[in-house]
Amino acid sequence: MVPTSHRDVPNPTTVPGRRPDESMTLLTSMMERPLDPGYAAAAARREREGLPPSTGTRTLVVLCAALVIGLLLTLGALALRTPSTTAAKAKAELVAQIESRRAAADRQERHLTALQAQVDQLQAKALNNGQASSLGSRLDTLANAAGAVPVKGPGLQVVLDNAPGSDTNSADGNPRTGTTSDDGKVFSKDLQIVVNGLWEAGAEAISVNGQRLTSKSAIRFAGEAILVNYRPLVRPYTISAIGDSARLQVEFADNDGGAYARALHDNYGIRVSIDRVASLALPAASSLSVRSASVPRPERTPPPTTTPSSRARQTHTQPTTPTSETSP
Amino acid sequence: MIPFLGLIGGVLIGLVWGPHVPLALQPYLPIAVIAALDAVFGAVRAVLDGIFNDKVFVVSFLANVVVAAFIVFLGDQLGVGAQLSTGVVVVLGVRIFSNVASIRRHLFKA
Repeated sequence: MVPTSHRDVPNPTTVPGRRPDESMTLLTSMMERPLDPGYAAAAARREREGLPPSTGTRTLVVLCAALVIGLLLTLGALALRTPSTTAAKAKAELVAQIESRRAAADRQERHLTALQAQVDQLQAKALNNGQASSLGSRLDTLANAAGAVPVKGPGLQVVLDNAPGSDTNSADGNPRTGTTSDDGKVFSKDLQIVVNGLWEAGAEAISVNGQRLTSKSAIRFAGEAILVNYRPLVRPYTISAIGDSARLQVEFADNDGGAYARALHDNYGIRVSIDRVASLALPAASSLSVRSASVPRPERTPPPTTTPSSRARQTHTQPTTPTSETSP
Repeated sequence: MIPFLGLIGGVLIGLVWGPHVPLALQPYLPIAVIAALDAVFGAVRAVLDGIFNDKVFVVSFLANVVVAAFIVFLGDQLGVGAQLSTGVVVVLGVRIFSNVASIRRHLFKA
């Protein structure tokens, strides 16, 4: 092996017949004689045999080799370029799909709005036709009660949050992926009892974190998350109830729901705050659809099976939505 | 002329036929391409030096490709495939550059 350190060669200049750059023979030979020495050797042999040093390039072997080299270059270029292009192609395809789906959803939504307006118009016309105004007011009441229209008014706001120190949401903020569980958490049952207490206290409309409760709404658990109307909620859980706020507060404090909320606070440290709010705005329920409908009879008696059909709306996000037929 | 026709023919075959390289062979392709390029530039220089020999060309081409592929294979088995690939590319790249420099001197006298 060639010495690679200057310490091994005490004084290179004193040794006769040694090159000063001997320690770098590998690099030197690579740089100075890049040509395959085989060419020179073959040329010398041919000259000894009295032939010209070069065989020339017009031979079958060279043609074949050139063919193979060209093929190899092309294959290399094709094969090594392909993966990135397929990935890019797949990505572009996905993006196109997303965009087309989104456009389709937007189209449907516009269509829905147009249809809704048409239905409202037709309904107003039909109701104005005859004995109508009693039907109209009945419809308004039913729509309010069914959660089909947004409502506004004074009410009570109950905020439930996990006990301090029991932060159960995982790092990514997704309530479904949290892992810890303890007593300081708000469970779906707690929400159910508090909501029922509010109904009992005379609330006219309730929403939880912006999800309007209807007669078909469910408050339940899925993994670590509380679902209302099949949507996962993130804490804190804000329950807004519209009604006579003073009466609501008194009644709620008196009934089981209020007692339960106090017990949650006292026993488990769950943060509970109950506030009277002068003006609450509750959105319409997003998941109503028509279950049954009938033509009102021309008689005087109001038909019992009429549903707030024209107000009912359906969203494309929840194909199997519950319906609202009558008041809760 | 003949080698150029051969090269173009090979490229055309590759483009038209377009065979799929098996996935197991794909890591060796870039190294094989570099080795082939080295052989080609060495041959061009030999032609200009007037000492070209077809047998030497073919043997050096095949040997380059095989040895380069073997080094990469060995590196993969030992877990240093990337480093050995880099080494092969550096050595062959240096050779390609100095051969091209000498070709340039032949063609442009500069």
